[in-house]
Amino acid sequence: MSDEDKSPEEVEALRTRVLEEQREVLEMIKEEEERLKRRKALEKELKRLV
Amino acid sequence: MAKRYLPRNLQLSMLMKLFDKLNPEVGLDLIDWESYVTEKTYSENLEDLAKAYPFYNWESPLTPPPTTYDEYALDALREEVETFGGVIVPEYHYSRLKSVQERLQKLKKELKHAKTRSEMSEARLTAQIKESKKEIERLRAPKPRPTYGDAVGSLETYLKNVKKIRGVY
Repeated sequence: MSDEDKSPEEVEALRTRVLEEQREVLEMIKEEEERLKRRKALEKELKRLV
Repeated sequence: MAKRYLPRNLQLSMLMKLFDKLNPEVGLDLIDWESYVTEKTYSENLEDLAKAYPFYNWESPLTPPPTTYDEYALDALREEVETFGGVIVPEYHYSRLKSVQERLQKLKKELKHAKTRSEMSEARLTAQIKESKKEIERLRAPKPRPTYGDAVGSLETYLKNVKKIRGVY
């Protein structure tokens, strides 16, 4: 199906969904960054102990 | 993609071999294999075991999982996803939007997987720190001084031994 077959409403609806998913992925990246920081701190602490 | 189920006995043997290789100093009997290795996929069973016993190693350090990100990978990912914001504009066509959506959905799946891995590593590290601290405390604790009773007991044993030796010679 080509792009011309899609109505402006359909394109707009998809755009809204994509933006929403983009926000979700950015949030997930942020959370992963936090987890990485925590993991690094734990690794450092463990290294200090052993 | 359809899940791949290996026979349970085969999984048990593979998981035991893996555990033995990664934790050579720990006996296999410390793990309740029967309860945690069930009719699931190999990776699901491995995940269950790692969650149940986070203080043991379940991942080979030589082959890091591909979905664990470091700072550089996360930076690159953020850059890629932020770029989509600049191109998701009204002029954008349906098919291009669809491909961006597919890429985002794939990333969501990978990040979800990475979350599980990170949480498992965090739990394992926390448990290792706890164990190390406990061990340090145990080593630092002053050894109990022998009591009078201990000394008498030792003396009695000593005398008995002396008598035995004299009896022999």
